[in-house]
Amino acid sequence: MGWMSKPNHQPGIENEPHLQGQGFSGDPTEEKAAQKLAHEQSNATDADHVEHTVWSEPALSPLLVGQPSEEQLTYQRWMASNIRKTTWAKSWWITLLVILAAGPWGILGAIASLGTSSFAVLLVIVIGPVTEEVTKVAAALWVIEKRPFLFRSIGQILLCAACGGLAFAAIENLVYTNFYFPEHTPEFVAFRWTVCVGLHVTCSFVAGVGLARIWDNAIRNQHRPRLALGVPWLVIAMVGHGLYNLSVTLAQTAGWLDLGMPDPPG
Amino acid sequence: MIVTNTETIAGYRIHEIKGLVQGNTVRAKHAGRDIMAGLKNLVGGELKGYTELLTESRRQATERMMSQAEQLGANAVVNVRFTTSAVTAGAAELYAYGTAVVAEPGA
Repeated sequence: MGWMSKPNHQPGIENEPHLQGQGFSGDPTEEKAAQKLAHEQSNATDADHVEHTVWSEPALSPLLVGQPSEEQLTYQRWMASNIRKTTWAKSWWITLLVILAAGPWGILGAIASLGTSSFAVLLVIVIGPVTEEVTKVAAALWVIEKRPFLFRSIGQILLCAACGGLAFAAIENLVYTNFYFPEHTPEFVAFRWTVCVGLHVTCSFVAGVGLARIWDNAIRNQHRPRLALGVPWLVIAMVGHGLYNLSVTLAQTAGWLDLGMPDPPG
Repeated sequence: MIVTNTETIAGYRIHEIKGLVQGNTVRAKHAGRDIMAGLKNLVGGELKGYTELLTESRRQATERMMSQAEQLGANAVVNVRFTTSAVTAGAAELYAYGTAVVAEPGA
């Protein structure tokens, strides 16, 4: 019985494939897979290869294998080589692209979080701040995690974070004043363009300090970025944002803050 | 390079152990193949798109493991094992690992 022929459903053990004693055809997908992988391999860069280099494995024993020879690709050598190759001009172009991506990406994150809970209070105080603070700095974080050498100074990272917060706040304000609340009061507009903008820029800046710590540690020691170094700062940004939303919600409910209309905070 | 799932290689002597080597991958097919596989699922038979996916993943994980062995100067990987994980739906996730060794002919 050939591999592709109709199987024999007779229950006898003599009908098992390995007892049939006839030829079998190979897996036709093997050749196709080999071609596809060869094509991918030919397009792979050092950035792809360094992801799988054995010299970054924690289980590697120097007692057994010694040190990598000069021609071996290690994460440290890849990083050092790319730091040398990255010019200030290229770095500033990347910074600009990250700034431009941060606002829209943050808005997408905010939209995605809308349907995650039917509890409005939970959405406003927990889910919204957590999602927004992550997505506002997500583009910069991706660069730091995958290509840390593209940034050349801490200032660029802080600028990305703060401008990302500013862009997010601006887009959010335009959405609120033009779509959610087209019949708004001047107090509402003033509040959104001062307090809310300040909140987003400040929180993003705080999260940016965390990103700067991750980047600085990776560049100084030329090892893979350790994201845990930035988590405390990201949490501070999230908690600060959440507390702000909570306080504004309470102030509006109690009548201490009156903008002439129902105003979702943050 | 010799790659085997046995601890020893018949006719060879393990001269040197280099250490653990591993390769992993998470691959997916494009949405069109997913849709076609969904349609094929209605009538039964081999979901060739997913067979390809698994073949590609197995080969890539194996190649990455062998690449690590090469980097260590090994000429064989023994005690090779394959395992899978479940990170995301619709993807084939393969992890291959073994022990890189330098093997020389002779018992």
